[in-house]
Amino acid sequence: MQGASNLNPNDNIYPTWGHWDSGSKYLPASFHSRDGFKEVQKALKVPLPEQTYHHMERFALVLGLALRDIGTAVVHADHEVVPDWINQSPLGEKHIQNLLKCCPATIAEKTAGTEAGYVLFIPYLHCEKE
Amino acid sequence: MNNSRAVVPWKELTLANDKYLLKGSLPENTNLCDPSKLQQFAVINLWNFWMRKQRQGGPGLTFIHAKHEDRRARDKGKKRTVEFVDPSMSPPPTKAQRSISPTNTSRSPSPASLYELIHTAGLEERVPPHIGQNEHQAGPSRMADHQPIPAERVQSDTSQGPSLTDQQPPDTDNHNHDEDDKEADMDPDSPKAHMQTKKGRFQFLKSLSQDEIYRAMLRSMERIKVSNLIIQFEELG
Repeated sequence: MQGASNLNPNDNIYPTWGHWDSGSKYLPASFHSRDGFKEVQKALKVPLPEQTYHHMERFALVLGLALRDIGTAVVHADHEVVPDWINQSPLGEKHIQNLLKCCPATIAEKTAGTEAGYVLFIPYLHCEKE
Repeated sequence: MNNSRAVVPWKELTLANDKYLLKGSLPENTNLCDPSKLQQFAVINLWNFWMRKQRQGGPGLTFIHAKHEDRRARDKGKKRTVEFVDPSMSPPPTKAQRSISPTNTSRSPSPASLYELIHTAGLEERVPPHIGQNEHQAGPSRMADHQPIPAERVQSDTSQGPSLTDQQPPDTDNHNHDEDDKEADMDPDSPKAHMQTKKGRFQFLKSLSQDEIYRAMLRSMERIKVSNLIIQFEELG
């Protein structure tokens, strides 16, 4: 496995389900609440502790898992068995749009001499408040 | 060949699971009853249990008894044998399939009721490949051909196929029980099932959302090496 410590750095930024070791498809009930969503949104606002691929990958994982779960709550196939807390989730399309606003617009490979030219806007400036 | 007239005696089976099912085919303190009486959590519980057994190399559910009138003879005029019921085999296998697989020499009917157990739970696309095979038959599953399998499981899955008589009974194999439990708890759509390689992780990320903004972010990630990045957040309109 590629650098487990790199994949799941112990930075305590993201919720406990937001790591590659998670063996569940669906997020826990704690996410499907207004407080749970705020916690995730807050976590996604935090600038990455290090600008590495693995940190970006984890950011994408947390964001993607949240998007998938809310998407399942909004619409899922009749035959899909989903937990009750997702069926009863208060989260919806508005929350998906709020999460998407946390996506960085540009990700580029750093080349020599560009460190001084870092342009890293803090994402939470662009996330709407709940 | 399928015997479409075969019916699972649910009432009798409910009262005497041990008579019809091989010991260890069900979770502890669980009784298999008419699928129409099963609640969702019970179906999921059974599903997870059978899947765990299959990952250990054995069949999920093994019938050891059938009603006399539903039994079919392997060869006319010869000793009758108890056949198994396999819900994953609802369409009859083709001649080619029967000739290719030595374990498919005597297929018995697929009871609609048991299939409904799976169908009711919405799991018809993921029927455990070995459900319903008896102790004499445990061959490759057709379902496995179109069931998404995490990359990390492919190697072990493709090595399966011995008959159950060659295998340790799952319930007596305690060597890796904890690991098996953990693996059984792991959903194939979970992050852990795809974390082995960068490519696997990336494919998983792409499967999470079809939204163009998220996809665009992933495309940006895809172009770069596993190294330092420049991440630029811009105000979105």
